[in-house]
Amino acid sequence: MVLEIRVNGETHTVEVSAGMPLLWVLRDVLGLTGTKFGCGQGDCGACTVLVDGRPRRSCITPVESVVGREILTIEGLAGREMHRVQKAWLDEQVVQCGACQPGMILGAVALLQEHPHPTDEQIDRALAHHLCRCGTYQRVRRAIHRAADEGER
Amino acid sequence: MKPPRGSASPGSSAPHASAPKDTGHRPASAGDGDGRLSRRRFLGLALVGGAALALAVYLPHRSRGPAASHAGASEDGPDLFVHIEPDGAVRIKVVRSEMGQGVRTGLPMIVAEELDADWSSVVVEQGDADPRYSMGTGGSQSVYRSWDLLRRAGATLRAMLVSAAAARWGVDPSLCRTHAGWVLGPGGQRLSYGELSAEAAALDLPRDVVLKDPAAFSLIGTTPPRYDGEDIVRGQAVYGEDIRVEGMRFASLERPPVPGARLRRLDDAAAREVEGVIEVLSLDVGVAVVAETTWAAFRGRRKLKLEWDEGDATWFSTAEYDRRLQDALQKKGKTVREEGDAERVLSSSDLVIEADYSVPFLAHATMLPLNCTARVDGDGAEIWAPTQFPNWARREVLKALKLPEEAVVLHVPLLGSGLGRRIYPDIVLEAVAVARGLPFPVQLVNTRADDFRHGVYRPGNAHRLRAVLDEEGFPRAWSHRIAGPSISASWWRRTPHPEAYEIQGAADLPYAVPHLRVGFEYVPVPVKLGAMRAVARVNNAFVTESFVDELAHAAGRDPLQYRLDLLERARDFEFDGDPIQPERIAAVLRLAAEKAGWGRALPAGRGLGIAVNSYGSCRTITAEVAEVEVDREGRIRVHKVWCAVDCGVVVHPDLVRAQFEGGVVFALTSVLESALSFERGRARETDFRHYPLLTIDKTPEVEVAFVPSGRAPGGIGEPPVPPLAPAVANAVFAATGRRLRSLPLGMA
Ligand code: FES
Ligand code: FES
Repeated sequence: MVLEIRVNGETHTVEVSAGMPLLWVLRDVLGLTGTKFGCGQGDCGACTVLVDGRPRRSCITPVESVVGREILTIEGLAGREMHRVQKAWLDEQVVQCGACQPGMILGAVALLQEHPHPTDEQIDRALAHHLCRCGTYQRVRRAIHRAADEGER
Repeated sequence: MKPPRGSASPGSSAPHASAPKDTGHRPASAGDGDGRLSRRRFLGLALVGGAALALAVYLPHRSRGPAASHAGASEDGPDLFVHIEPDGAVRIKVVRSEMGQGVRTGLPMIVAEELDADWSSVVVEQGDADPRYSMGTGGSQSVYRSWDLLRRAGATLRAMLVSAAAARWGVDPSLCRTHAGWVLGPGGQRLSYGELSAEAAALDLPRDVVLKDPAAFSLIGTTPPRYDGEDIVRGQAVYGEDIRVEGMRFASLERPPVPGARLRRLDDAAAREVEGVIEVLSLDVGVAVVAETTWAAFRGRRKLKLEWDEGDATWFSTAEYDRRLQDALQKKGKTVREEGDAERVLSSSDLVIEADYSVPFLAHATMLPLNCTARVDGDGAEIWAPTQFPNWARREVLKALKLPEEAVVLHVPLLGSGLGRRIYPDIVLEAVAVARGLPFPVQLVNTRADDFRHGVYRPGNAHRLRAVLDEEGFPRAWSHRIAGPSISASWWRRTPHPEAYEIQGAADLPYAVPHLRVGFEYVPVPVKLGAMRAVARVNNAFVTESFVDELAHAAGRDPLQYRLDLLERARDFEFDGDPIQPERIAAVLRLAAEKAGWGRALPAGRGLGIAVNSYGSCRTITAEVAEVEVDREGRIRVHKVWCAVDCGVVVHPDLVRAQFEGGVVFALTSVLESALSFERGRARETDFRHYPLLTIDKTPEVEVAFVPSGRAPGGIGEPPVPPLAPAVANAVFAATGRRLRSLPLGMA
């Protein structure tokens, strides 16, 4: 079936099978591999993208359901400059292997939209289903607080 | 684990250059275009012939232990290249896999320090597998094993640049200084390293170079940003699963469900009907579904109808295995350390303190499932493998395809966490087997369940500890029996040393005990076992450091002071070639206790626990104190962990801290959350719901303190892990008076 989807501000016409999860449309059809495959079951958060600004697990999101919506992947987050969350991530040196980080960063972006100054509890709640096998959580918290402070300026 | 000795080479492309355009086969000799190591090698360094100054560095390799032999040994080659480019860039090619531990930052920093390079002009690249080069990442030894040589490499280049400048100016080299990529002359002259590169390249390798006084280090000890960070946060970094090559398709592999199972019947009609499925291949390694997308391959695979002859391995279940372990604990087992006569002392005393401990099997659960991309055609093979040991993988491929050396090129994209799982070349061979039957490149991707089901697991095992105390309350006798499977024997069934890994951290007990015995009883399993971050020391530290705590309490002593007293009476010794130094261990314990405020009053339900581990093979000693709260329902919450570490010179303190923060989370996952069990020869937990990983809301604050040291830097990847489980278990005891002797810890 042929669909039109909006990804990072551009419209793409894609030919896909019905029910194909957005993750695989991004990765295998459009070649946008920044969105990671960690489990394919909605359990890890590595595949998180923003759909109309809200975090969604692309691995369990049928592509038909996002037609007409704005999809933002990690590749589209930075404009001419990096997003303040990305900068905070580098400043706090959060990254280890990096595999969970695109999903984690988009989760943080969505959190900051909802709570510009999240508490640790709000961070924990928002990211409790983002797994990081390298255990970068402590720095994720710090980076989110830093990004929140940057947002003020 | 111990790093196999590898041999390898840098390929011609950076790991990120795996885009469709980069698909041509390259001869394996295409190194940097300057790969002629024509001149003589001196103490691990050799000039690389060419117009610009370039040095190849051959790090020392320790090849012992099973991992060493199964990675195979061949002639060793350089591990690192340093090029001084005419434009002033210092290009360092690291032939080591990056798994997140920052190898690409730490090693180059040491070279750059002695070179007096401007860190912002340092460009770090990743090498690919090539038989001329050494490679292998594991064992937390990357920095410790390389320290002296990396320093000399930097100092050698610096000396050559200084000589070149001095010659141009007609002054004595001793009058010249260097700073941030410049040679400064006595009369205020200056020349950049880039300008001097060609002239320096014509000089001979100097024999004596002077290393800096560590007090003068200006880069080591600072925390420059980690290489790669920006690509990763932008989503541009290329991991194994992100490789996209012109014309490639995707594959999913249904493997035998139990080791040794054989396919009896296959009906692939329904699978072939699935939209996007191109081919179904029945192979020795399993049944592969090849499709236009990963999703179609997964879907097609679910439609396969398969019948297997499951073979003998179906006996293996956790319940049955636990019974066998209990029987095995009755036996003395093979003696792996003996001092005095512990069994006699124990049998003649009626005041024996005895405790049984058990630790489950674990799966690596790397963040990204295993994957490998391969193209095999008449000319050879090109492979993109996110592997910790590219040369082992490559060698296995050469064997499997019966190809000559130069016909196989193996690239190493980013791993997406290794944890030891990506040491093993199984997925690479499977990808090659699939690609072999296809006229296009193929990416084989595991599902999450595949990763759990076809793991190379961390062995679970059972332990019986017995001790007799003397009048002062110190152990007069200590016996530690381990019953369990063997990593070595899972690869070589007839190894004379099934205990090789499993006794690490048990047989090197650092405490003074006059009658000491450690025994190992091998109990086979049919599944594959392997190295996982900190390997056997995790289980053994849990057991020994918990039991020491039990003895301290039995003796009515403070657990910290008890350990210090035992160390005070102990002597230095070597175990398996690694030094055990009680005095250093005591210093680390003291620092951890001081930071945590050991002995302070705590509210009811809270406790502090302490534990220490001397990680001999990578020279790092770690003590950890956990502050734990146990609520009325018995839920355990770890609030804070203080880590004290003696890891020699701290090259990049922030990187070390990150390893400890992450190591604590990794360790706590198996302390509180997950365990792998088996039924009918199969893993039962096959997703994150049944094998949960620790999440952010349960993550304690981690604080790290360093023992000041001028020693060569020790490993930092594995040492954070072993002390955590006993520190938490000991804290739970302090909080509740209940001793938990099996992992994961549960109060229920
Ligand atoms: S890949 Fe989507 S949640 Fe894990
Ligand atoms: S950084 Fe490796 S999984 Fe999060």
